[in-house]
Amino acid sequence: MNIYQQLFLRDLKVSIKRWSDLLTGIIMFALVAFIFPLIAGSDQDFMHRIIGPVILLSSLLASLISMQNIFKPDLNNGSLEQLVLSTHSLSGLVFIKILSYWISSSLPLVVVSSLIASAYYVTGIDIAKVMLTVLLATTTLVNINSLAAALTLGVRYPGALMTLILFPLSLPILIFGSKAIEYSILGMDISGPFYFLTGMMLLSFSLGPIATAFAIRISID
Amino acid sequence: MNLKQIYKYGSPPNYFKLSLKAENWFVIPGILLIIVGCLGGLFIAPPDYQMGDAFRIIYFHVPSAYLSMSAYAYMAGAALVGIVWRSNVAFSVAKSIAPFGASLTFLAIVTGMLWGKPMWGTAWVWDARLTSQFILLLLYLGYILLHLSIREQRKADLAASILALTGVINLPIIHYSVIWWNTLHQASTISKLSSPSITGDMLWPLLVMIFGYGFFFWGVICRIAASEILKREKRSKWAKEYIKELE
Amino acid sequence: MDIFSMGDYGFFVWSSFLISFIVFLINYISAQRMFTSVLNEVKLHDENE
Repeated sequence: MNIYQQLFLRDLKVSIKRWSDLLTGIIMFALVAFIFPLIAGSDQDFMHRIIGPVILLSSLLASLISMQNIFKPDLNNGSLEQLVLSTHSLSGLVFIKILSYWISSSLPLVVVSSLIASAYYVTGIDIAKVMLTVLLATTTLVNINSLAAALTLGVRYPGALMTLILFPLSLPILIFGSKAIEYSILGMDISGPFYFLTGMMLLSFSLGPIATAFAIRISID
Repeated sequence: MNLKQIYKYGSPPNYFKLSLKAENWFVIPGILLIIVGCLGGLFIAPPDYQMGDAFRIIYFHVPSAYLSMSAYAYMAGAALVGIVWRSNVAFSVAKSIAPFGASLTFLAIVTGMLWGKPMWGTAWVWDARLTSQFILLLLYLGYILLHLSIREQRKADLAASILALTGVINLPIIHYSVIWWNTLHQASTISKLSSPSITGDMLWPLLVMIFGYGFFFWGVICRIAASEILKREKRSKWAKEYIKELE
Repeated sequence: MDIFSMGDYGFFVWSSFLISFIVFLINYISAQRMFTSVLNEVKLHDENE
């Protein structure tokens, strides 16, 4: 078993042990999406119109809340430093970390989004399209989150900074993601937004780990 | 062209002295151009056929918006040079640009609102250009805040530079995302806000103001960058010699 | 006065002028003050050496 497989399995095991941290994100996602109809009205047309933005916004807020859990715990227990000092490529190791973080934090969101979609009166195959949008959008969001988390690793109260960094960078994903969901519900052709989301996923997974690794190196030594 | 002539300004003392000498060569022409531009724009140019005298705000709005965006590009460029060549000079320049760039973005937004209210009845519209200016302001503020939050200067430089670079890549993406999103909704707002074609007597004050803003901007940056370099190198020999020379 | 009313748009035009002027002035003055404060900082540092 090479280092990447080991790191991947280790990260998954650790995140299962820290299940309460994962739950924070999932609960935030579900609750934000839940609150909207309660306070904004719940007739079917309105719900169909807002489900796109609501789901993307809930993902953003869920990722914001659990951002510090990507690297801070590993920084505190010293394992991040070991990764930096090892002879392996830090970008590769960070890629594995981001991938396992995505699996542990965002795949549950995909499942929950199906429940939310049916609560928002979405039917049939459209629910699958909503889940696919969340799947694609969260891949990019996770990379942007990792970059913001790595940049603010050394900062003591990173709250405002994280939001300030996260918001502009994630805007295109939010725009195209909510468009994708809106198109799915209207029955229109969804290929445009989906190509964009897939493209951003590939871009962020290829450049993200490199930038994040660089940022970790800066913040650590 | 002898590249060595350029490379020597990468060293802090040379750049410091150059900045201080260059400052007034930028500030004074800048002020003169701005004065000429204001006279031309506010008094000489005839009132617009459609918009009357309110179009004169364009002489403050367009130069700020244009300069705010190009300043961000310069900042990202300086950040890149700083990362690649580990240059303190480049990082100082990048750090100096941010506050003035943010003020220019603020001015672009405010003058845009002052233009929009009498013209189209609304101070704010959700179109690509206004949204991009707002996002640009957030990017500038993020850069400044990152510099303030990280205590160690070398780390702050590198982290903020990464932010500047990701911002410069993202800004066109955001701009085109919003355009795309808007074209699906209403075309009417966009055509309302398209710039009127502009000629002759109305054009030259605009160009003069753009150059005036640019010159003044670089003059102020010279001074701030010089302060920043001096602060970073306060323990060095050349700094001590400079202080002695002043007395 | 025609200049100041600007065809009823006076408030907007002159506010734009004024706020641009003020922001430029603030930036210029703060640059000068930053420089003098750095100079003082270096002098003090020098004396403490």
